[in-house]
Amino acid sequence: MILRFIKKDNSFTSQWMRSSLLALILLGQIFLPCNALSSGLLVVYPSVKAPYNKIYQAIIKGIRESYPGTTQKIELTANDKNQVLSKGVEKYQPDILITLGKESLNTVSQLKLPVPIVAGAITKTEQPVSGISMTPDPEVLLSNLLTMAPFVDNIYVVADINRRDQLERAEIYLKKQGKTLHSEEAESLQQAAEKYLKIINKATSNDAIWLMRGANLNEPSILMLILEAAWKKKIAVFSSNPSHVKRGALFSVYPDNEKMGVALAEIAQQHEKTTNAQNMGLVPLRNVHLIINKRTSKHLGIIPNSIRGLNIHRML
Amino acid sequence: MMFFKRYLPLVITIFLLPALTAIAQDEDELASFFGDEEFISIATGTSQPISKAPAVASVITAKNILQIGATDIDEILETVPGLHVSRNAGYTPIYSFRGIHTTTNPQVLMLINGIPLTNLFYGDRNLAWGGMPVEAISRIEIIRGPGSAVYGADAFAGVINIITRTPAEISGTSGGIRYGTSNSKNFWLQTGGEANGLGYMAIIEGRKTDGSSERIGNDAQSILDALTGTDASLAPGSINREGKSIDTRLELTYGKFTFHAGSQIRKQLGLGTGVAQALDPKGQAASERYNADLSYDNINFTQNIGIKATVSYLQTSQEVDENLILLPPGTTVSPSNSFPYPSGLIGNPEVYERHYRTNLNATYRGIARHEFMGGIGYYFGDIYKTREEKNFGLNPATGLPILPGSPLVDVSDTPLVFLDENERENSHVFIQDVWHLADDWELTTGIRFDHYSDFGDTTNPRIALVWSARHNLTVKALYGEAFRAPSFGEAGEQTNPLFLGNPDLEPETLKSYELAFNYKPTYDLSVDLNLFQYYWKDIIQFVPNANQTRTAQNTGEQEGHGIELEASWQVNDHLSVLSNYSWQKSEDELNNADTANAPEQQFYIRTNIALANEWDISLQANRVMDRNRVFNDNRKDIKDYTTIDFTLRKSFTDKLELGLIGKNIFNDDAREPSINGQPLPAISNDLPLERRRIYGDIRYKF
Repeated sequence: MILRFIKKDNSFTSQWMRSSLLALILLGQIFLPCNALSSGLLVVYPSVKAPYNKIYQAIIKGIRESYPGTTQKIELTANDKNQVLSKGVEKYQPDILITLGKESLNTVSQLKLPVPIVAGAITKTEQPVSGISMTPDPEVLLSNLLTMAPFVDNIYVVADINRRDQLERAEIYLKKQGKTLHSEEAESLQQAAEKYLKIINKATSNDAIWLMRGANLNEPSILMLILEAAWKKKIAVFSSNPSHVKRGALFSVYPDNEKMGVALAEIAQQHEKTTNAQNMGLVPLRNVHLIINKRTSKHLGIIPNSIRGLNIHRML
Repeated sequence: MMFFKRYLPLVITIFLLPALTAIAQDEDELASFFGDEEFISIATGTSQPISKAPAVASVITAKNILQIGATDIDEILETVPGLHVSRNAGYTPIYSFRGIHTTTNPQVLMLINGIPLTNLFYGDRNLAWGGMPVEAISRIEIIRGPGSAVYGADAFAGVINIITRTPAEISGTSGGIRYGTSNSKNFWLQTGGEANGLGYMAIIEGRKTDGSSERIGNDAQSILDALTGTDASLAPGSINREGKSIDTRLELTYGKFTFHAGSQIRKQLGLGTGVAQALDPKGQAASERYNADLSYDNINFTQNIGIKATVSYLQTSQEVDENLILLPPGTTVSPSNSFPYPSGLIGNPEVYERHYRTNLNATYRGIARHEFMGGIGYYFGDIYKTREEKNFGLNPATGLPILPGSPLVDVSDTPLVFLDENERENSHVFIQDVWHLADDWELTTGIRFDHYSDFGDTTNPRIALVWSARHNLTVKALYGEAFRAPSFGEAGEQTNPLFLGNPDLEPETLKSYELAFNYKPTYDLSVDLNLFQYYWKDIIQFVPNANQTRTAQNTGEQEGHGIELEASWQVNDHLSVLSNYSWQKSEDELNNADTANAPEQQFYIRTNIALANEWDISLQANRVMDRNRVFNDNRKDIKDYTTIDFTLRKSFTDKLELGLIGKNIFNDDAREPSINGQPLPAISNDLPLERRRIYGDIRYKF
C-alpha cells in the first residue's frame, strides 16, 4: 500500500467536509466484500497507569469488534518504545496501523513506515493521517442542551483564542435551530473572568453558558463564580469538561471509547480497501456519553428522566 | 548527619520528581477529556457513581480501603462517624451505631450485594463470623439510622452494604500476599474480564493467623474458684484469636442479568476469652456460608417502567471444630457440686440455616415530578438442623443428670437440645414516592408492610425532605421507624448454661429523627453535619439471673441524641485529609443512667499523601472516648484509647506494588468493655485489643 501525503489542513470546516466525504465512501464500501481486503491491523498505544489504561482497552475492544481481520497490539513504554515498535512491525507486518495517543503517533511517524496510519485518542496533529479527534463535536453538546432546555434562546461562551472552528460550527448549528451563539475570546485568565462576569450580569433564565475546554477555565475560582451566580439566576451552565458536572454544571459529554474504536476500525478498513484513500485529518467525535447533574437539573425545573430522546449515560 | 542535611534537598527533589514523560502527557490529555482521574474510574466502569439516597450515609471505596490499610472489614467500618466496632467476649464484632450497643448486635443489617447475611439464631452474623477479608470489596455503603422502609425490619440501628468488585473493575488477573504480626498470612488471586458479552469476575482470598495473644487477668472460672475453692482457672492467660478462612466470590454478567455466588469458609476459629468468658485455648469454632443470587435489572422495561427482580439463597452454619470448653478442666461449676469435671464443662452447639429470598421491585416515571418505586418480596428462613453434644445437664436417654467425668452425650434431636429446629416466613410490600415538590425541594415518602409468620405484622414509614438551599448547601430532614423481630435464640434457646430464650418477647421498635447538612465551601472541601435523635423501645437483652445464666427480656428503653461532623479536604493533587468527630448521649431510661459501653465521643483523622513517583503514604488516628459502665457496675469507666496507623505503598511499573502497614504503632493499651455480671464481672479488666502490628504485602498484576 502506498501512503499518500497530503497538504496539512486541520481547520474544522475542512475536517467536517472530509468527514462527510469519508462517510460517503464508507457507505459505498458496505457493498464490497469485507474479508477479502482486510488482513493485519496493528494497534499501537502507550502504557499508562490505571485507570487511564481502561480507556485504551475499551477503544481496542471496539476496534477488535469492528475490524474483520486479525488485530495485534503493541504497548509502548517510555524507555524502549522505538525498539519495541520496530520489532513489532517486523513481526506482524501490518497493512495498517492505528495509533492511540500523541506519543504513539509521534513514535510511529518517526519510523516512516510505508503503511497508512489512523490516529485516535488525540486532539490535534501535524501528521498527515486520518483519524478521530477526542474533542466532542459541538453539535452533539448543543443538541443535548436544546433537548433538555428548549426554552434557552441564547448561548454564551468564552473561548480560548484558537477555537474559531468549533465556534463557527456551533454558530451554524444554533442558527439552524433559531438560537443565537454569543461568543467571546479570552487571552488570559483575567480577561476570561471579566467576560464571564459581564455574561453573568446580563444573562437570564432563558440563557445558557457553555464552559468550553480551555486554559482559562482551569481556575476553580472562575468556575465557582460562574456556577454560584448561575444557580442564583437559574441559568443553565453546561460544560465540555465532565468533571464540571460533579461541581454543579447541568451536563457534559465524554467519549464513548468502544464506539470510538469501532469508528477507527472503519476508517482503517477504508484505507485498506481504497489504495488511494485520502488522509482525512481528524474528524470530530460524535460517539459520546451524556452525564447529567440531577441536583442542578431539578433546580432548573428540568426532570431528565421524563425527557424523551435524551440518552442519559450517568447521573450524578 | 551533616552529610544528610547537606543532601536532604537533593534527596527530596529526586523523591518528588514527577515522571514527566511524553506518555504522562497522554495521561494528562485523557484526563482533560474525562475531567479527572476519579471521573475516568466512573466513566470506564472501574467504579460506580454513588447513589444519593435520602439518608445519612457514608461510602468507602476500594481506594479508601487501601489507604486505611485494612486487612479486615472491621478496620474500615471503624473509620465511619457514629459507628464504633467493639468486641464481645468471643471477639466477634459489635457494630455499635450511635449508642445502640448490645452483645449479639442484631440491630445492624449487614448485606453483601444487597443480600442480608443475618442469621436466624441470634439475628447477627453468628458466633463463628471470623472477620471478612477486603480484597473483593468494591465499596461499602453505610447508612446510619433506621432503613426499615427500604431494607426491611432488621435495618434498625444501621445498614452495612458490601458491594463486591465487578468484572470491569478487575479486568485482568492479579494477586497478592501479605504477612505480618501473629504469623498472619493472607493471599488473594482475582481475575475478571469479558468475553462475547459475558462479564466474569472471580476472586479467592485466604488467610491464616495465630491471632493476637493479649492476656486477661481473671475470668469466669476465677470467680468460681473463689466460691468453690478449686484452682481451675487458666487466667491469667492468653486469649485465643486464631483462625483460618477461605473466601470466594464469583460474578457473571450477561446483558441485564447478574449472577453472584460466594462462599465464606471459617475453620479453627479461636473463641477470644472463651464462650463462657473462661479462657479456652483449645476450643475452635467453624462456619460455612454459601450464597448465590440472580438478578434481572432493566431500567427501561417499558418507556416509564423499570424493574429489578432478584432471587437469592444463603446457607450458613455455626459449627464446632474442637470441643468448646465452657469452663476449664477441674471446674466444679457450682458450690453445690464437689465433683470436678476432669475435661472441663463442654458444650458443642451447632446451628445450620438456609435462607431463600425473592424480590420484585419496579420504578414508575409516568407522572410528572414523581418517581415511584414499589416492590414485593418473600422470605423463607429455616434452621434446618441443630446439633449438640455436652457433658452436663440431663441425659435424654436416661433422664438422669450427666455426671462429671462422663463422656460427651449427643442431645441432638431431643427436647433437651439447646434450640429447636424452626422456620420463619416473611412477606413484604413497599411503596415509595420521590416528589419533586418545587425546584430545590424533594419529598421522599415510603412505607413498608411486613408480615412475619411468627411475630405478626409491622408497618414502617419513612419521610425525607431534601432542600437544595444553595448551589453548595443541601439540607435533609429525615424521619424513620424500624422494627426488629426477636431472633430464634432470643425467643427459643433452652437448656443452655448461659443464655435462655423467652417466647414472650415483644419486637424492638425504633423511631428516629435526623437533620443533615452538606456544605461545599470550595470544590476541594466538603463538610457534613448530622444531628439525630432516636427512641428505642422494648430492648431485648440477656439479663443475668442469680445462677450465672441470662434470660432474654424486653428490658428497657433508650433515648439517644447526638452530632456527627465530617470534613473531607483535597488540599492539592498530592495531599488530602479526611476527618470526623461524633458525639452521642444516650440514656437507659429504665434506670435513668447513661447508656453503657458505646463511646460517647469518637474522633478520626486520615491524611493521604500521593507523591508523583508512585509513593502513597497514609497516616490515621482513631480516638475512642467516654464509654460508661452499666448502671450497676462499680468498675471505673472504660479507658479511652487512641490508635495510630500508617500505610506506605510504592508502585513499580504498573504491575508490582509493595505495601507496608503499621497498626497501633504506639502500642496503646486499647480495650473494649467486658460485660458486667452478678456478683462480679467475669473479666474485670476488659477485653484487650491488638497491640502494635506490622504487615508487608506484595501485589502483582499478571
